[in-house]
Amino acid sequence: MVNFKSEGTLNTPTISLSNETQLLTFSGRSLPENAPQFYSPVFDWCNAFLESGNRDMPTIFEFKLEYFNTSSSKLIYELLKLLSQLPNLEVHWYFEPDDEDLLEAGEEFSELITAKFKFIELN
Amino acid sequence: METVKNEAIKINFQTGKDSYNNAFPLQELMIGNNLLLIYRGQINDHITHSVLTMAEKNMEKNGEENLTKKRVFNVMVECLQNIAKHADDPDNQAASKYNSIFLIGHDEDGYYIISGNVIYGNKVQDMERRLNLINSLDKESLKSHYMKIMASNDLTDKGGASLGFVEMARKSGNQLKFSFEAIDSESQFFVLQTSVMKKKVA
Repeated sequence: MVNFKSEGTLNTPTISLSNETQLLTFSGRSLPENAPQFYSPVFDWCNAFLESGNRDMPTIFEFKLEYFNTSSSKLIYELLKLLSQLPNLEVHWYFEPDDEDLLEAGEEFSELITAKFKFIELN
Repeated sequence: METVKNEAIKINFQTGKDSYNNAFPLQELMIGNNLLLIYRGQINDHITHSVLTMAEKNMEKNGEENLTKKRVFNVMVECLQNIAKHADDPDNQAASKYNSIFLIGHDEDGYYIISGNVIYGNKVQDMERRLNLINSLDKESLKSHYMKIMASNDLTDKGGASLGFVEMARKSGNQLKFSFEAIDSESQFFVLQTSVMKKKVA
């Protein structure tokens, strides 16, 4: 299975999904008008990863987005729900100290998704 | 009479050769109404990102606080993408002169994000119901409303999450102000104002 890499733009995120390290990183901005279309290859990769991934090893979902629109938010929820089938899913949620809204958004995801959530303040 | 080839020039000078003078009263009008930005025309993905970039640069220049800046940005994104996805373009003369509009106002207390667009009249009842529901909810209930929609609703055929108005209300912390003006029997002009107040430093 090949790793997935997508370079970010002004309105789409940088995404890096690694089969070996099981590290799935999202950073930058996610504001595509057609979010389902944008995230479709990410869902394909994750579906394949659910079959082939090492379930004894943790899978880390690194969330480093600074801006995301509501349709991206919905798709990230769907993605986390899918990945939460893995027994060792960890969500590392990064936020700036003065961004209480981003922390709150992460806390809301943690109420809806069965996974270990870690909130990490950026310096 | 001189033929004007360039459409942009024609618009700027349509009232005659001295109308460049109008730039000054227009500037005064914007200052008097605390307007940072006015846009009138079609709102699509491309325009959305240009407007966002302009407003973001403006807030950075003003040294705006990070949280306020992000809230204003988020409200703008939802507002502009709502219009790009849901504004209607009825094929009749009365409605066709109404373009979408987008304005940002700013004073010492906060930012005001105002939009207007044409919609089909048959959407009004449902939108009114959704907006009135949102305005009746307090902070905690808005949060559970948001989470309920996110966890239960499917995406619409336009890729929307039906969360835009809820998100705008949450970022605002205030009521969403809205109105519908009848254009004709088929179409209405929908105006929405969201305010984002700056955090008071104690």
